[in-house]
Amino acid sequence: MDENKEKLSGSSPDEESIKDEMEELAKVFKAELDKAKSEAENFSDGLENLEIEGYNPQTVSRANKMPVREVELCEYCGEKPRGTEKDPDSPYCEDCESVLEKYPYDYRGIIVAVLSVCITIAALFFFSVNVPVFASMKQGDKAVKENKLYTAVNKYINAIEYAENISADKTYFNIYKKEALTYYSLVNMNSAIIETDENIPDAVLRLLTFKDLNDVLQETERMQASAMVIQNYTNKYSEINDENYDKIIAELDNLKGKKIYVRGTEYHDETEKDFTPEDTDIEFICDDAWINMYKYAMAQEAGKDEATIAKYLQATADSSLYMKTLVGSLLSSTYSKMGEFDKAEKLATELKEINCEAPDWYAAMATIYRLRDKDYAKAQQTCDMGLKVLEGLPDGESYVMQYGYILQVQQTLSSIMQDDLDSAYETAKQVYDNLSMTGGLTIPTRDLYALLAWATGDKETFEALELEIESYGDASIGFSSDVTDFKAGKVTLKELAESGRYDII
Amino acid sequence: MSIIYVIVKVLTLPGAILHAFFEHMVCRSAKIIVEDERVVQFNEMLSHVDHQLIKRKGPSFDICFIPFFMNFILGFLTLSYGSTAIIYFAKYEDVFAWICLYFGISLLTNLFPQIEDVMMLKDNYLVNNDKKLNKALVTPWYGIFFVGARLEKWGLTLLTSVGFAFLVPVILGWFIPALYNLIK
Repeated sequence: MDENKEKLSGSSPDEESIKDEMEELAKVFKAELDKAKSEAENFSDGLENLEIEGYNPQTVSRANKMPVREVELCEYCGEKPRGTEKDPDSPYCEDCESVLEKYPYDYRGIIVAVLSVCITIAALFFFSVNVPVFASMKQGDKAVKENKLYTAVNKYINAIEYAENISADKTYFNIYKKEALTYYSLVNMNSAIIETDENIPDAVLRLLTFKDLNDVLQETERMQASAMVIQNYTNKYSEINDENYDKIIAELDNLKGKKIYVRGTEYHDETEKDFTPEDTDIEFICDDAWINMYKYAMAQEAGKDEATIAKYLQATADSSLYMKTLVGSLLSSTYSKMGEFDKAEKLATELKEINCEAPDWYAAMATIYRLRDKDYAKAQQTCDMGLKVLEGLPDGESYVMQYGYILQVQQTLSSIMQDDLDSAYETAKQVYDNLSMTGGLTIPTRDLYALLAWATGDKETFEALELEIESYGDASIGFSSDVTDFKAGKVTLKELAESGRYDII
Repeated sequence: MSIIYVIVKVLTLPGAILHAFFEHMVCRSAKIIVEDERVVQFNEMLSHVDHQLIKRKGPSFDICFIPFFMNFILGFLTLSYGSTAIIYFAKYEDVFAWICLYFGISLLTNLFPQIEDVMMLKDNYLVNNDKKLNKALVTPWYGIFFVGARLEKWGLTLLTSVGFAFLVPVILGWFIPALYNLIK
């Protein structure tokens, strides 16, 4: 800037030429200004010929009367003076402003507006049709968050029914996924696999959004393959006793970390001598949890002590949430029998956090109250609470039938301890009937029923049970020595109730 | 002009056109001069109409709020089915649900006014001496519009609208099951 000023104040030849150029420019501007003025004087002729929407001759005449200022023509038409009565500073003339205020819509905007309204109405219609599915599914999700897994499964089943009423094509893949995952959490592996196989195509299963289900299915497959391979070893022995127990345990230990192979319906492991892993479908690493699970089964069959059983069960439970859910009740009961009530209570609480509707916590606590505190009334109250939870579920009766027996057995044992044999017999009968119907009858449950039938003088029922056992023709499933000993007066019912052999979990 | 802005606007053309349409509606109802009505032009004016600066308070709020509100409502309602069917039910074979999802996201990507309109809103309500109540009512909206307009400049509203599409089933889950049980 300063340099320029110095240059202008001087009188060099360059400055002379700049001055000349500026004078030249001033002459050009003056000529242009004169031309514009003359055009402005004739602008009224142009207005008369203007044919645009909203043209109003009155406003034109008003505009004509307005004083024309120099070089202030309308930005839009470029012919009339700027400014309106309303806004003298407007860059438009009166006519153009009235036209521009009503500028027509772009037809594309109108098309999209109509289209969007149509799509919105249709979307609302389809959403309202799907509200029952949505509401049931959301209720299922909420139940999962609250660890109410039985309610969750029920809600998902409701959602599936609603969805299949809307469309029989089974395209609501996420409901089937959530149902399968909940079944898995409930340790119902088979239902999880069936739901997935029947309803979710492989292409969908490979999507990232279904990775969790895919992982679960692979884990399930691994567990099943591991169990099958382990059974190849355990089935070699018709009877488990002290002699072969250590040998089986060693064989099972040897499977840890080994590869297992699936070929069609055959299951092999890498330790097999004559096996080559060719043409196999899948390979896994043998599941440690199932090795421990089978070790427990072998220990149980070999009549090992509670500590050994608890050791294997604990190792199984520690491997995953699934396995903890599977063996948690059993382990808690074992700890109670061992007198380790703190461990039993801790485990029961953990099980309640997995599924607060399951009878496991109530049964475990009832066992603790019965064995530790000798508080049989409290044990019965706890079982009543658990049964009420099951009864309160949708389709509660079926839940009582499926899972209630765990609590009813505890009630029976508590009644025996309170010398209330009639009540104990009634509950034991209920357990026997329910388990006979569901196919889950066990020898201790039947024996408990027989013991109470004998104790209450219902010899007819006792004999009927004897006849039933005879009809099987299998001595291994006959009455246990407890029944014969009780009949012979060698043991009392209370002693048997406290023995722990009838705590069915 | 950010190339990302134009790409995002082109990808979400239905929403951009509708936003411009609603801006135009406000202009016409408030007698604001529109200088270029074209809703499809591949520059920073895509999804807006070229209009005169608004010096009046009401229209300066309306030009920001009404297109925002209309696109939001239509977008949310469209997503109520699109998001629920695709994201929540995983109903991948439902073509109409995909259309709803796209349409809803495109509407929600084009919610915000251009930054000049937001500045005029600020000038009219917040800079000039105005009633405290008016200032208090307009300030949150100014904040939303300002942030939104800035995000839109960089095409980030596409990400926010996709994120919102995932949130729609959650939001509906807050009241639809209870409402359904009430009616049932």
